[in-house]
Amino acid sequence: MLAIVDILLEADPDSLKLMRQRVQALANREDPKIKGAPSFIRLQQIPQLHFMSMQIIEDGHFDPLLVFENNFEGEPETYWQSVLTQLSGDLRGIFACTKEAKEKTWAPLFVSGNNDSLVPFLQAHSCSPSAQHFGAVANSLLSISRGREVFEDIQSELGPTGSDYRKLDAPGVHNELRRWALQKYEWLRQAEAPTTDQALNTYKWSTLRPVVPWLVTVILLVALVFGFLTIDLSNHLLHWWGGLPGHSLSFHFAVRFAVRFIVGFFVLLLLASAIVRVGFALYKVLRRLEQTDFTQDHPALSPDQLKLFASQEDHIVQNHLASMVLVKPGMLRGFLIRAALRALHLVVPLVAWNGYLGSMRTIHFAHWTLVGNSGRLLFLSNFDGSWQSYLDDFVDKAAHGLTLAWGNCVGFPRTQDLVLQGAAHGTQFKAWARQSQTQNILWYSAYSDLTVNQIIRNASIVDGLRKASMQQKEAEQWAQLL
Amino acid sequence: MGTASLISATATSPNPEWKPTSETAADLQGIIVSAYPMHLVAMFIMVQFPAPPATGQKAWVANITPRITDSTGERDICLNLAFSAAGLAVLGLSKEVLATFSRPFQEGMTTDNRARFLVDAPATWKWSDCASNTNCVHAQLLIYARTQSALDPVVAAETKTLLSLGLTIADQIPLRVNLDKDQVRHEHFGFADGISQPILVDGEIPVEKRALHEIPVGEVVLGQINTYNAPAIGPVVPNSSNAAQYLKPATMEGFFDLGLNGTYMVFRQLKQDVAKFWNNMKAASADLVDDQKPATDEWLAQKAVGRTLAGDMLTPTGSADGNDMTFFASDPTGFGCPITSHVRRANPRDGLAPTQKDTEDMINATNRHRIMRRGRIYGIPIADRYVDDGVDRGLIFLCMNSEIERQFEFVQHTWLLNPMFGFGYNESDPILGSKCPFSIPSKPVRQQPIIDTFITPVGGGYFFLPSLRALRYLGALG
Repeated sequence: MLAIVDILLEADPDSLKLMRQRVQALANREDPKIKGAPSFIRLQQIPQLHFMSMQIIEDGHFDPLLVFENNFEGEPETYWQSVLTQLSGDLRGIFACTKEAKEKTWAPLFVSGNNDSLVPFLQAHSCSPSAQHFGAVANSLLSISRGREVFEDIQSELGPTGSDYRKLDAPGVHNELRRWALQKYEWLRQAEAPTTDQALNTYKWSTLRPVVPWLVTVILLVALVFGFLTIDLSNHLLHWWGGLPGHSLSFHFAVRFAVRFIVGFFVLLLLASAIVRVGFALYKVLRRLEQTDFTQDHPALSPDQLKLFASQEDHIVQNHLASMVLVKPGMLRGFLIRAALRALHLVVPLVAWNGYLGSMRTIHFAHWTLVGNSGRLLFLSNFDGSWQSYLDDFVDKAAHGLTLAWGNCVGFPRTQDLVLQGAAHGTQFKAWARQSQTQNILWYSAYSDLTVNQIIRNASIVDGLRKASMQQKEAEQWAQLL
Repeated sequence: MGTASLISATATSPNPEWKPTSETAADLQGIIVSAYPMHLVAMFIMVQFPAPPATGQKAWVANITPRITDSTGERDICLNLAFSAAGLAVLGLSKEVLATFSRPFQEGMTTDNRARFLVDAPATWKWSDCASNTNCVHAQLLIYARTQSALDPVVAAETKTLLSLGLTIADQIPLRVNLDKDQVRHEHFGFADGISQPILVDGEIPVEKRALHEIPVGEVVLGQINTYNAPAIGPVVPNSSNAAQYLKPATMEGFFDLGLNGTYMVFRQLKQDVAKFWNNMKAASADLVDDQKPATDEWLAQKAVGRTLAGDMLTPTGSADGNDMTFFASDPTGFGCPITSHVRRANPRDGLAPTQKDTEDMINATNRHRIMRRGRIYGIPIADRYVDDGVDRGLIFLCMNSEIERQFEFVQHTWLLNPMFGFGYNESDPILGSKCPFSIPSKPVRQQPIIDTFITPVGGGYFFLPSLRALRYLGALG
């Protein structure tokens, strides 16, 4: 299973310069940016790591925040062990420049010469996303690298012309390629656990499944309280009526039931109308806020900053985006942003299990995290293609979800009913997103040549090879993936 | 509204094409509203300004502005004029004003980051828009005429004028049009060209009422309503000197609108190696099949382009006339027009939609990246397409858009040259891109010849095509 964990630490302002140097030193060593020089020597050795980034977010109102983004697979503890095997010294030096390292509990860890494990420190400062999205959720690093190998081997096996395979029909192609692959890949003979379908299904319900017992409990409780209430009320009414003398027991019960039903119905109606009234009142407040909140029509973009972004972007298939924005003040906004992110957290796996957010499937890992007592919202994303195409996808294909998540933040373009307008103000939204962006110092992708589409395409080819035989139609569709 | 109605809307009830008011028409350079279809010969003159304190460039702009063609009607000779950022700086626009132009225009096409983004090698270019380039072009003067005999004296007169004012010519390219018997233009490889263009419609028409190729006029013309339902942002000048005399007030207090009714013009000189193209098509198609028959070089070339030589779109059952088709319903897997073919990369329409219900959104998204093309070919057509005659020939790609990053650069980077476009893997545009495999969806499995490089950019830049008002202002700069 894939996981996202951020380590968020407040920089000790007096050590900020040193912290920056140390993060930069780590970045320079891993990513020398010299043509031909080997890069990411140590990060490649972390077997669970998909994407990693480090940035220091500066803001006039707060001490700088170190954001250490980790997108990985498996259990966090195992992952941290692997990370520390490679980066223990660097991380100790970087973390030593934070306020947290000065705290009594942790200070001994950062005394020079101390070699105790940093795992407890990492675990204590781990933040889970408020809402997250995965593009290729069923694919482990092992399956991704196997998929790439199989795809490339099949391309050379087929050659420019399709060689002898083109004389076959589609099931024949599948059959022959499967025979060829079984000889070539030992691992293909072993059953896959879990299968892609199983993994997707687990993920699809992963956020809702834990909620179900709670939901059932709450419904039962409400029903119980409500039941007692109506029984009591209807008993009172019947008593007041003076009973029903001279009728059969069944009639008696029928009337009791009818009275209870009617009473229950009116109580429900009252409750519902109260809820609707409160909801409507809150909605009116929200609409007033949406119409009167100050916005930022022309976020200032520094040419130097833009040049820096341009120089770092579009070197590999993916790009990285890190952004931090302020949450709007007020109780209603505070409630709404929590509710919105919670809703996204619950619903995204159910609707985007296949990687598609709306009609876009370019995100490998993305997440929002409320930080600093929900005063700020952090967004980190590893996506395919250019910044421009990513942001355009946001505007064109996923504007509602984006607006729901970001609409309660300072400076976001004016929204309507939480999900409308907002990100649809394309020019303004893109400028706002650029302005809130922070340059990463270190960024690593474990598969810099693969898009989400390609990972899933490769996995589907491998899944097909695992099948003993295929019908005509299925085989035709499979052969088109080659 | 589903895709079906979208298609039928195109066929039965397109919106009227945008028509400028007479005031706007007098302000718009003619090239924006017309490709000058009857003007079959043209000359592009790349002008260099002398360095200040020389002032010939200002005199020249003032001198030529009355001869610049607007959009009010037919002209025998059409003259249009555009400037690079370096050119505007030499003309005397202040840094503050230049900073209000779009960023790609300010920086030029050849910065390191942009060259990497556009997969260009500008170090080898003959000319560019870059101030640091020795062959930096400050202005593009485009002259169109119906006949060569009408063109020549105008070119001679304009050349004489600009030379007499101390300006120089970095390069000049005679342009031509190759017409087939049906009066359709063909580029040097032999394909009908310029078929798919966006149609400009009034910006007030909501997106759900627009047909397949219709885009709001602000996607091309600055100051008009664009795809985000807001005026396309252009440059402004502060209220000083003579701005108020020539320009209209901008929306913000204290500024005048220099961009209104202008546009950004993208130039690229693309050298074509015709013999290499056809010989590669011949060699690469040798072992391929067209259904059951052995494939021909023309079959492969048409697959690479996505259209027939005559310009019909390839479909799974043959080819289709016109430009109204979408891909999702009729050719989702590219058995007709390969997904990574040139025309499908250049305008994917709804072809990248994951499901039927996404098709309309996908067309709307695609239409936010349309460009208005005005390209023409240079160099004489090749006599025998398999025999290299050493002649320098190619295409001057010229397009107009109001937002270079979202339109031209997006098309170039995210669609045409994207190695992972549309489920492709390490491919590129088979016509424009560098040497790479090209997947042709076939039954039972794809064919994937290696396609070589035949088109080399040898020059290019971003230019600003001002309105007539802005031209008068520039000519009168203090």
